Order: sequence, then C-alpha cells, then structure tokens
Amino acid sequence: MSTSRRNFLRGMATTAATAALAGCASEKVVQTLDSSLTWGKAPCRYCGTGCGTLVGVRDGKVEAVTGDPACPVNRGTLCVKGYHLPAMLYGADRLTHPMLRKGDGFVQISWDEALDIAAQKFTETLEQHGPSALAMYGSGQWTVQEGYAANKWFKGGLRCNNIDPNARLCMASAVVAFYTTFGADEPMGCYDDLDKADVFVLWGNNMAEMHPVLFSRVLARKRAAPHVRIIDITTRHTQTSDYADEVLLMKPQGDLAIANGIIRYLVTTGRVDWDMVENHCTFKTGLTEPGYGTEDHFKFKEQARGLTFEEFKAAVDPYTPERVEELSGVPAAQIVRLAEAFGAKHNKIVSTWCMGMNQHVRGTWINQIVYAAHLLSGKIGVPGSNPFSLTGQPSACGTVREVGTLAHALPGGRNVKTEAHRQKAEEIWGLEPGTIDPVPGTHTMAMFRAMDRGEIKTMWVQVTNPYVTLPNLRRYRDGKRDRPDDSFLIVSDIYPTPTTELADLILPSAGWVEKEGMFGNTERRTQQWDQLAEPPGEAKPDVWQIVEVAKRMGMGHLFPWEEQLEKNLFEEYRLFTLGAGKDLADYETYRNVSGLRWPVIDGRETPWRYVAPHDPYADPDKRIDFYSAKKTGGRAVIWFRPWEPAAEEPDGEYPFWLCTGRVIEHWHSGSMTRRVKQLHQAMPAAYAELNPDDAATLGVVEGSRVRLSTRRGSIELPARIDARAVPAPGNVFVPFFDEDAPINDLTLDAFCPMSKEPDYKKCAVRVELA
Amino acid sequence: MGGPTPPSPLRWIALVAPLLLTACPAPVERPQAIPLSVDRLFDGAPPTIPHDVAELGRHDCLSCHAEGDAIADGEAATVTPHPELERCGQCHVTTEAVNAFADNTFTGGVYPMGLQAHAEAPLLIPHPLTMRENCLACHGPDADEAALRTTHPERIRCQQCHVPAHQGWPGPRPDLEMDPWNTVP
Repeated sequence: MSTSRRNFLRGMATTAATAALAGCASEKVVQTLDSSLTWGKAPCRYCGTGCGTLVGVRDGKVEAVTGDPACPVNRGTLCVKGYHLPAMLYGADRLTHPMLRKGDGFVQISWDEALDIAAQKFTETLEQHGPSALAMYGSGQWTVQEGYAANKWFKGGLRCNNIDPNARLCMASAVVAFYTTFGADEPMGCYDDLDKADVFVLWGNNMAEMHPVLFSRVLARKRAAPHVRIIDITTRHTQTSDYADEVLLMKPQGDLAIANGIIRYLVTTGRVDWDMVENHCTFKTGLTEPGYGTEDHFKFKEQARGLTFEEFKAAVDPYTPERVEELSGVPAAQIVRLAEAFGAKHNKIVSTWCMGMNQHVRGTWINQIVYAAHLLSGKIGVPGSNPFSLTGQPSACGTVREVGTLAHALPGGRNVKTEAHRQKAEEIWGLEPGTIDPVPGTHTMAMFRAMDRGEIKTMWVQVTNPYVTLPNLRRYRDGKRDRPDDSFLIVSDIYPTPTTELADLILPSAGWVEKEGMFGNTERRTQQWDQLAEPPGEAKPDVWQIVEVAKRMGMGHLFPWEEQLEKNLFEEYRLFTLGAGKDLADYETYRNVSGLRWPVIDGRETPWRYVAPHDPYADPDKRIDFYSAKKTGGRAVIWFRPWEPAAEEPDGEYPFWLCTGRVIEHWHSGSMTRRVKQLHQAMPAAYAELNPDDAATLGVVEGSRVRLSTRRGSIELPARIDARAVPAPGNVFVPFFDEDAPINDLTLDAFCPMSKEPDYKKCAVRVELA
Repeated sequence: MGGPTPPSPLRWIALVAPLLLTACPAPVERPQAIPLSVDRLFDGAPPTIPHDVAELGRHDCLSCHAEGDAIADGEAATVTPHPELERCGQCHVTTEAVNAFADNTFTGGVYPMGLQAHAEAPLLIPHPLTMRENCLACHGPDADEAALRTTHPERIRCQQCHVPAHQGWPGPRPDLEMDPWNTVP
C-alpha cells in the first residue's frame, strides 16, 4: 500500500521541527520546571479507567503530568501511558491546517473553505440521495459534548440515524446484555468493589496491561487481605496470569461452556440464592444458531421466551464438568473449583471483563450468562460482590452509551424506535414532532459495508482510525483506496493516520487538554476538564467543527449559544438525564471535583446502583431493586444461552487460532502513543506471539520472521516466544497497534448478531517460517 | 479543583523552621539541576528500565530495588520510593528499539535545585511529592545520585524543615503507610 501522502505529511512536519530545534547547542534540551507551571485537572486521555491527572502547563504547553492524589479512581498513580501524556500532544507531525485531497497529495486550505466544502458535500448528498447516504463514524473518545453535538445534528438536524461509534467494536455486547438483563445500561457496581472482594474472576481480561491502575487496586486488596484469590480465565498466560492464584487456560469460545458449568453446579447442588431468584429474577431463553453476520444485509430477530426454573435447569444440565472440559479445554477439577467459589455463601465475588467477552460472536450471550451466574448465586448488589463490565475507551460510557451516539439511540438511555423517547428529544431540541426518524441507522459494520458498496456517499470520521481497526480491513480500506470517487470522506484527527491518508478532506483537531470537555468512565463517573493548553497551528476542537458545518447548512438553531459552548451543550444534555435514572449534576459542580458517579441526586453520587441506601432510586425495603427492568416487572432476567462454536475454527489448512488485542504501552491504533519516544521504544512494532511447543514444531525461534495467513490476507511478523505472554498451544496473538503491520487485514468481520460487535479474538490462521 | 494544596501547618513550619534550626549545616555547593541520569520523559515521569529484564520474574525487581542492593563494581541499584506498588511494569518499561516512529518536539524538563528562602534556610523541596513520598529513596545516604544525599538521615521527618517550594504543586498520595487505596480486610 502506498504511504506516499502520509509520509509527505510526516516529512513536512519533521522539517519544521528540525528548524525549530536548530538553535539548540546541546543534544538534550533541558528546561527547568519551576513554580511558573500552572496545574489543572483532567481525566487521562486513554482507557476507560478514568484516572485523574494533574497537568502542569506553561506558556500554553503541557510540560508535566502526574496522577491526581485527590482522584478516588487512581489516588495519585497512573500507568506508563498516562505518565507520558505530555509528549503525546507534541509529535512533530501534528495536523495544523485543513487539507484537501488533490490528485495523489493534499493541499492546505483555509478553515472557511474546508467547512464550506464539508457543508456542501453533506447538502449535495442529502439532496441527491437522501439521509441514508450520509454517515458519521465517531468514537468512545469523543467528549460528552462532542458526541452530544454530533448526535443532535445528525438525528435532529439531518434527520439521519447513520451515526455510530468505534465503541460498537468495543462494548456493544455489554450494552445489549445490560438492557436485556437489567433493563438499563451500565454497571451496578463501582471500583470500590475491587477493595472489598474475596474472589476476582477475570473473564478473558488481561487487566495488568489493559487496565493497569485497576489491576494494582486488585493487587492492593490482595496484599491487605491474603485470603483473596484471583482466578484468571484466558486463552494465553498473560502478565495478569502471573499474579493469579488459578489460571484456567481455555479454548477460544470456551467461556460459554465455563459459565454454563458454573450455573449447572449452582442449580444442581442446591446453591441457588432463592431469595434473589424468587423475588428479583425471571428466566428466559431465545433464538439459537442466529448466524455470524459475515454476509452483507445480515438480519437478526430475537425470539425470546420465558422459562420455568425446571426448564432452565434442564437446559443447563448437559454442562457437566466433564462436558465443559471437552468444550473449553479446562480440566473439570478447575471448573468445579471455580463453581464452588460462586457456590460459597459468604464469598464476595467480582467478575471483570472487557474485550474477551465483548468482541465475541456470542458476546451478548456470554455477558448475559455471567450475569446469570451472579444472579443465581446472589453475588450482586453487595459492595464487593458484583459483575463488572469494564470499558476500553475514556468515554465509551459517558458519551456513546449515555449520550447515545449509537445508530438506534437517543440521549439518556432512550432509543429512536420508541415514540415517547423521540418526543422527549424533539421537545428538548425544540423540533417539530415527527422530525426524528423512527428507524435505526446503520451500525458500524453495516455502515462500512454500505460505504464499500457505494451507497454511503459522504462520511465524517472523528477521533478514531477505522482504516487500521476495522476487522477484515482489506475489504474496507482497499475498497476506499481503489474507488476513491465513490464517496467523500472527511476525517478529523490530530495526527496523520492510514485513515487520513484515504480522506478527501482532513480537519486538524485539538487534542485532550487543548479543548474543554468531559468523559464518563467505566464506573459511571463523569469527569470535566477545562482547556489548559493551546492547540497547534489552526487546529480546532471537534465540537467547534460540527457546529460550524451545521451552521453552514442552516442548522445553527440547534446550537444557539454565543459563548460557553461546552457548558451549554452539557446543560441541555443534562435535561435528558434528570429523572431517567442517569441524573447528572450541574456543570459547575464537575469543575470542582474529580468526577461524580451517576445518578447524582441532591449533589450526592451513587456508588452502587439498585441498592438502598446507596441508590436513591432503590426501594429501601428491598434487598435489591431492579427498578429499570420495567418490561419484566422489576425482575432481572436469568438467560439460558448454549455454547455455540465460533464463526471460523482452525482446520487442516489454517490450523491455529488468531487472537488480537492491545499492549500496555500503546493506545488502540497507536497514532498517539507511538509518537512518544519512551513508549515507541519499549514496544516498537507488532509481533506474533507463539506457544514454545508450537514454535519448536514449526522450526521457529525467537525473532524468526513468520508468515501468518488467513482466508482474508497475509502478513509477515517477527515471532516472540515465551515473552511477556504465552498463548495456549494452538493459539497465536498479535497486537493491533502497528499501522505498518495491520493485523486486521487477517481478521474476520463476523459479529454478535444481537450487538453487531465483531469478534477480533477468533479466526483460523496458518503460521509458516517466512 | 483537583489540585491539592499542602496542609496549612506546613506553611507555619516553613516560617518558623529557619529560626529554630540554625544549627543545620549550610548547603554544600550543588548543581543547579538534577542531571537526567536515567532516561525519562521529564523529571516526574517514571524512569525507563536501563537493563535487560527478559529473564526476570515478577518479583525480581524488588530483590534489587527494594533496598538498593549492590549490583556490581561498587554500583548500587536505585531504591524505589514505592515498594508497595508491586506491579512495576505498570509504569516502567524497557527500551527495545532506538528509532523513532515520528519526531516529537516535547522537551523534558527538570526541577531546579538549591532553592531556599535565604542563605541560612533549609532547602526547599524543588519537586511535587506525588509518587515521591519516601524521601530517603532518593535522598538516603546510599542514594544513587551523590549530590542528592542527605547529611542527616537520622532526622527522619524531612518535612519538619523542608517544605515544597510551591504551594500549587501536586501533593503526596494518601495513605502511603498502607497502600494507595487503604484497603481494609
């Protein structure tokens, strides 16, 4: 693939940086940090943990970052990415001016021209092809205000629901399982649970690398209380496994069998918490063999039906420890020990998971049945005992899930299908009744497939890098490259990426503390920051870009504020949250705290939902009150879901499983962290992690070049054996941060039929010496 | 606002300490700034690991860096100021390559040394205290950097006399004696 355009961009910036440094005599430029640094607060830019940072700024530039000792999330600690935040903003190739594609390169244009072109493209497409030919692809890294402005403009202004975020690839399965189990999204528990649990069950969750600060909190709990056990369910022995008391090394997809094994143990040995089940739960099952979504125009319709306890018991009966061992590869004795932990009455258990369970062709199912295990055993709604779905992006919760930047959603847990929900949005937005389209738009995979078929004519991408991160990447990336005139692609970013390389119009964005904003983290904590530093060149906040384009399309009435845009957007959005169980405080309150966990009522946050006295919505006379589960009369649903195979399994031709994921040093596609010297030098390039026995069989040694091939593509990588993690035999792991070795050329775009979230963890691959 | 300010008794100590402690030795001639002897982005970022760790297990870091054990040729390992944080790889990474993905214009800074109210006053603490709550880790008699070694380690309570140079700086982490989250069994 040609990288000439992007290299051109990188080259231009390098020249400018060299010129700037030419006056310095010494190799190492040393500045003195002194009291002229001004310190402000901001949540970390990267993962969903939401660590509070203090940011030291001088002359409009970030010079230092430290963990905020006052932030209850991290109490002064950060991970290696967080400590290196100051350099993330100062890569020499920051995008500083709008750029328009011209032939094989880009020309610099003014903001006026850029915004006019964007507005003209949207208007033309709307007039010629209707709203279904428009799309906005956003992000769990959008601030609350950015997501809110985009959602309002698209659904309320353009009357188009084709707005979806990269969080679809990240936690959509968690969302669907929350709604179908509890009637409302997001965890009932919080990080305080980590300080109180007796047993941690990690479901495909390499917390040590992906949520490092939370993992240290788990380790601190274990140090303080030596009886605490960590049980790690995984397909590779990771840095997390190093600290586990028990490692369940499973076959991919085996988690469905393991969870059913726990459930069978509970119901057959009389270890069910009957007070919980009889008073607060109901049983259901649904459609089996729903498919894998690999074909265009895939459709799915759930067929849910109620079960009696006896029917439920019969359904899980096949999942004996021996059968679970067959399906998961985990020895029956380990299955029983895990089940016993759930069965022990006074054990407090926290289950944690992230991409292992969410990026899964049965992602909704596995989320649902882990809830089932917690509900049946009563390990829920008790401080220190809760299922806890973690998120990977800083505002996947705050923006995507709460503001509702998904193709079917409206702010405050509402959706476009429900008339009352549309009316509420039309009322707050001052729109004519009937403005909002009741049909959900395209989810991410359908969106990029429609773009590839030439049906989406204009797309705007903000704060994400799809042409590195989409599964089955060659179809989507090469399609845009080979048929550039089929669509007009607008990309807002802070750095050149493989996505800006394919753009027709590049808009330079302000990053992190160069703008004002809010994130919402995994534990429902909403965190605000003020602009602390100056963006470079002409870079502008994404929210400003959205509002300016909307104004040029005659939709300025959607954003009537002359000043304090971020505050006004938030205060309007807040109206959606009040009384909806997601109540937020007023904007000024957030300026003075390290975040608050919603619902915030009378200035008080809610650490634990559904339980009084922590949650003011909960009935104080009930042990637990699933008040959101309105469709099931206040009962949480215990789902039966069977084990089903993955979409593509190893065979004679492609004999290994391929799993992809992150590493501690890099954030997502690496466009920010790779520009930090210490992080890049610690983890400079992607690699193929092999099991030592498999490597020996293949004649591969540490550092050998190996060729990985799937039915979709092929890539050469250096082999790592017995390095920071060791996959189970028959498994290969490759990190996805390296745009120069895009592993998503090989991954499969199969997805969970319910959540439409792709499975990046399982496809069949061949490994050969290159 | 998240930026904690030092508790007011520190200010009081800062005012009276110079009067009470005139017996303290005058500062010897010291460099203007701590040399960046280790690779770190700025003074306050975690230092990178300057040696190979491929053969080391998860508990091995502390076997040298808990107490600053001698390693070779009269060299001692640096002492960690936070041995209670056992997952070293959360913050400290090795160097596997020396190239750059793209140039970066950030230039790391250091905190100035030798700050004091007047010639007889005890030195002011020239850096924020977050993650540096154990003064003796860097300023103990065996400290890696000779210029940083205290002449009076027996005094223990450093902040009786030495106070942060700037009130707006981030403060120490809470509950250091136990662990950052004060997890009670």
